[in-house]
Order: sequence, then structure tokens, then C-alpha cells
Amino acid sequence: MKKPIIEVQNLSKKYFITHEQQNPYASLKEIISGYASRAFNRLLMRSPKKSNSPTTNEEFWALQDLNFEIQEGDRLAILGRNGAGKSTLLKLLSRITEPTTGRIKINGRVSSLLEVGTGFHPDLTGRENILLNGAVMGMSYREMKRKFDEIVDFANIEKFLDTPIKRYSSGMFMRLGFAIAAHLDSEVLIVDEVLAVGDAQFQEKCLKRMNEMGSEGRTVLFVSHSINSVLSLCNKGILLEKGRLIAHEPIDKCVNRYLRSCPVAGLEWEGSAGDEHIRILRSSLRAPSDNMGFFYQGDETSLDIECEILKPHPDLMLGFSVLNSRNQQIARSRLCDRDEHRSLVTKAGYHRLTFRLDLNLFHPGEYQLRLDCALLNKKKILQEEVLLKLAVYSRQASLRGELGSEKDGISLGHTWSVSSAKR
Amino acid sequence: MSEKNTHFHLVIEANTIQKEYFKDLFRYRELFYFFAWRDIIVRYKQTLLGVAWAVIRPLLNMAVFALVFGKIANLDSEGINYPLFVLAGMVPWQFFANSLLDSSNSLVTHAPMISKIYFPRMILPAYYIIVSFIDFLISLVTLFALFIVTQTPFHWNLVMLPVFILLTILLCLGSSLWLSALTVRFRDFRFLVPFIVQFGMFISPVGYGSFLVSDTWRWIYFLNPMAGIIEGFRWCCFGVTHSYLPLALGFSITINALLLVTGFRFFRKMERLFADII
Repeated sequence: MKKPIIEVQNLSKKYFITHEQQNPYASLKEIISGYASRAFNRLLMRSPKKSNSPTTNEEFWALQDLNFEIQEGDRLAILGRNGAGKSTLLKLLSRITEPTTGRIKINGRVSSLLEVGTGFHPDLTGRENILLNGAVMGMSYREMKRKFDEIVDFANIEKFLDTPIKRYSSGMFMRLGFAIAAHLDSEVLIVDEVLAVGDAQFQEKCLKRMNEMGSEGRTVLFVSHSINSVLSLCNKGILLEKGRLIAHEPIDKCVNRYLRSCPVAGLEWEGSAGDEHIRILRSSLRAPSDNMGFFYQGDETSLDIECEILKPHPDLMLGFSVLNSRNQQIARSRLCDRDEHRSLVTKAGYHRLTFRLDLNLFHPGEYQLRLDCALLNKKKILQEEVLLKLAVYSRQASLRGELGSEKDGISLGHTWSVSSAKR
Repeated sequence: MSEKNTHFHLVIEANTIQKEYFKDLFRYRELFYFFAWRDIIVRYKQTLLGVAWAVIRPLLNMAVFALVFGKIANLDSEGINYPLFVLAGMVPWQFFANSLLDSSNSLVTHAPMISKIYFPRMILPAYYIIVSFIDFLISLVTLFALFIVTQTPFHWNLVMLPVFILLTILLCLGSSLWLSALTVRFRDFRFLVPFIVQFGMFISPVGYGSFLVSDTWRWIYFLNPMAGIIEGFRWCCFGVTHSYLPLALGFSITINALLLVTGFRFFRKMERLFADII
């Protein structure tokens, strides 16, 4: 049997969350006075009082008891919602921080791309930065020299090699950063969501390059929220949830599990979400006439929201956003957008809000409606608790086959007019 | 590839200080050169006078000190040209001061890198010392040029100068390991270090000679490790021997070694926390 390239055993990482009464960087004075009072107490043989110390630290396990192995040549996706511990895991694997317990065995060199362009110096030219960055990534000067042309070619910056980086466009900067990491000779490449930026063409190039690296027998660890790129690149996935390993399995299964672990979206939501200002109790889309669970373009529906205002607040904002299949927000509407609507939610008590939704506005596709609620510019009350699914199909047979993730979006309507023109 | 694998076998474990640290330092030596090379290039970019600053700064300081201590206070310099006497002390002091100022901040200024990439963090404070060392070499040349201008003969003791230069480098290293690690934990040191440097110049024999310090206070005076080193520099340059020189040097070397060993240990202990608290 092949030896795993990475072995992770009982890996945990604990952070201390410091609370507001303490500065993020403890000042010397606090520490000294803390020591002094403790020493003083010891002198008087008093037992230390807990309330005495101003530092109330709360333990937070970013990762808990992870065990897995990665085989050589695997392209592994690390999936999980925000705060699941993905970034912490990458940081541990790339030795940036130390684990609290457990061990990691790595049989090879690791180069990690947690951020594009780390270690670039703005005053140096592209040429100088390539050589410098190689050293930052742990590669020797000789190796970098050998790879130099390839990198320049990949990043497509021949013309600007002798220009200081600070004059580069952000796109050039990104390309150069990725190109360097992608050409390192390490056995393991760790990539964190860096591809989210950069244009589509470059993203494709990067994915292709990472695919190549995988087929060369190198191991790639990849974190991304883009299911499409994960599916096209990786062959295995691990799913993290609140710092725990939920699954380590082939990528299709893992993505499926991940998507299912996200809040289930349907036409109706019932529950209780919110904070001391407002509670959302129910939200629903009026079912389509034939109760099929999806709508046709041109249908009409309405979004109902039932909520209880507990503590009226002038900045309370309630509304919803429309997300496309890639989870991008493409449209929204909020009560506070219009002054006359603002008063609606400033009275305490139960309210029922209705929004008429014209489905002529949607191209065929699958959307999600996300309820947004916040204190304007202060606090987000709802994250992604309330999600409704909205699938819109076309009645026109010729368009049915066109259902693709790239085609959905807001429709501008159909106000075309055609007339014959003389040339 | 299997050959490479055995080469880079790595175990990351909780709460163990890696035994391979020195190996790692060696592995990343190129990064160290690159950092130094980069900062040397960048240091005087977009300045009008460029590298000339490395000459001008000690000369300006020398002029001020020679005026205040030599002309106004009229202190004794044992028959040596006063500006030259000051410069011989100013050159090592500025090296120490500059590297301390830069390297104590080094970890904080590289915070983004520390939280994104692994490398032995010790490289950061260390390479700043090399950058200041280049400036030091330039001002050393200036010092020798001034020897020729003032027609002061070169003394044979100068062959011992490399020893004192090495001592200065080690002292820079020891103290910057301490200060850089402390600065990550306590940002107070960002304000404290400039003060240490400013204050230190007056309690070191930069503008005057240690022979002016009374016998009773001298041993306390020499607890400052730079005092012994500067006196050593003067001894190399002018060959004037004092009875207290061995004491000064002994103190200096002892404290130097102490700082280096404890500094290394402290830095290693703190290193694992850097990425989390920086």
C-alpha cells in the first residue's frame, strides 16, 4: 500500500477569544499589575480570586480531534461553511501556527498559497520579486532561475519584468503571485480561496494548472466555496463542521453532503430567528398554482414574512436578497429603501409583510431568497438563517435545454421592437 | 520523488520545540540573503542622496557631539583629535542603534507575512542586522578616511577590530531577539526602544571617554555592554590603554553571551505564538 503523504492524528487547535474588557494586545502595565497583585496575594496567603483578573478568556476550539490521511496525488477539497475551521487547518498544515494537541506528519515539501503576493515588495521589480518570492516559499535560487521563464510566461508579464511591482495592475499582481506558487517544485500545494479574485480566463488557467499538478502526482489541498471549481479539480473532499471532521470521501459524495448540510431551502420557512429587536417567525412564497414546487416565468407569487418586533429601533432594516445559483446576490429589496416604508417596522408587535414578486423578472434558473435583517451599519441580525428556494423555468420549450448556471439572472424584460430598415 | 520525500520528512507536533530548528534555519538561508539584499537595494531608493546618507549621518552626529562635548564642554580626549575621537565611538554605536531600532520592529512590520507563510522567524530580526551592517561598513570607511585627512597614524591594534565588530553583531542579535519577540507581545516596546537608543547614547562613551567616569561608578557604567565595545573600538583605533579595559570587556562579553542565550530561548518559546497574537 502506498504511504500517505500527509497524516493527521488527533489534531486540535484552541484559541482564546479575548473579550472586550481586555485589549487585544495586553499592555505591559496590565501584565505587570496582574503579576504584582497575584504575587501580593500569594504573599498574604490569599487564594487568588477569579474576578481579580481583568482578562476573561474564553476557550474556542477552532479544530477538534481531526484524524485523516491524504495519499500522494490526491486533490483534496476542504469544504465547510464559514468558521468551520478550514483556514485554521491550512495554517496548521503550512506550519504557520502550532497545533494545541496532536500531530501532523508530512512527507514532502509544502508550499502554501494562502494569499496571493505575500512577501512581494512593492519597490522591487517583477524579476526581483520572482526570485525573492521563491525564497519565501522555500525554494532555492537555482530552482527559481530554472523556472523563471515558465513563470513569466504563465503570468504573462514579459513587458513589465523590470517595472516595480507597485506600478502593476491588481490583475498582473495576482497572476504573478499565483504563477510563482504554481511552479514550485513542492510535493504538496495548499491553496486557499485565492482564485475567487481574478478574471474568468485566469481562473480557468489556474484550475487547469492545478489539475496538471495533480496528474503529475502532486498533492493539492484546495479550499473554495465555488462548488464548480471544487468539482472540476478535486477527487476527494473532507467536510468540516464547527471544527470537527464530518466526512472524508470521494468528492461527489462530499459536495452532496456539504450542500445538504447548508440550510435547507424550500418554499416555506418556519421557526424563530433574530435577536432582542426582532424575531422572524415565518416566511413563505405563495405556492405556484399547480403546486409543483417551481414556477414558470411570468407567474406571479408573493413573499410573506411574519415577524414580531420586540424592541423598535429606528435603524432596523428588513428585506430580502435574491441569490443566483453561485450564491451571488443579484437583486434585493429592503423596507428602509423608501421612507414611507420605514415606519412599518417601528411599532412593536406582530407584523405580516407581503412583497409581490413578478417572475417575469427572472431568467430561467434556480434562485434563493435570503431574508436580510440588520441594524443599519451596526449589526447583522440574520446571516443565512432564512432561505427560500425559488426555481423558475421557462414555458418556452426551446429554452428548456438552456438551463445552466451561467444563464440565470435578472431579466430586463422583452421590450424589443423590430422594424425594417433601409441600408 | 521518493528520494525527495525522505529529504523533507516533517512532523509537526504540539508543544515540542523542533529539534530541526537549526536545520531549518540553514534550509532557509537563501531567504535570509534575499531579505538582506532586498532591503539594501530598497533602503536608499527614492532618496536624493542615496547611499551618501550612510556617510552623512555619522558625520553629522559627530559634528554635533564634537561641538557640544569637545568645544563647549571642553572635555579631554587624551590628545586625540576630538571629532575623530567621537567618530570612533559613533560608528559602532550607530550600528547597534540602527539595527536595534529596525529589528525590534521587524516582526510587527512583517505581520502579514508571518500570518501567511512559514519560515524560521528568527530570520527577520537577524537580517536587519546585516542591512545595518552594510551602513556600518560604509561609515567605517568614512572613519578611516578621516584618519587620513587628519593625518592620524593607523594604530597596530586595528588588527583586533574584527573581534569587536563580531562582538557588536552578537550583541545586536541577542538584544534584538529579545526586543523583537517582546514587541510582538507588548507593543509598548515600540515606544520604549527609541528611548533606550536615545538614552543609551548618553550612558555609553560615544561623545566622551569612559576615563571621565569616576572609579566608584565605573563598574555600574560598564554593565552597559556597549560601553565595553566602544572602548574596545577606541583602543583599536588609537591604542590608548586604560586599566579598566579588561573589566569593561569582561562585563561586555558576559552580558553579551547571556543576552544571546536567553534571547534565543525566549524567541523560540514565543515563536509558536507569533502567528496567533501578532
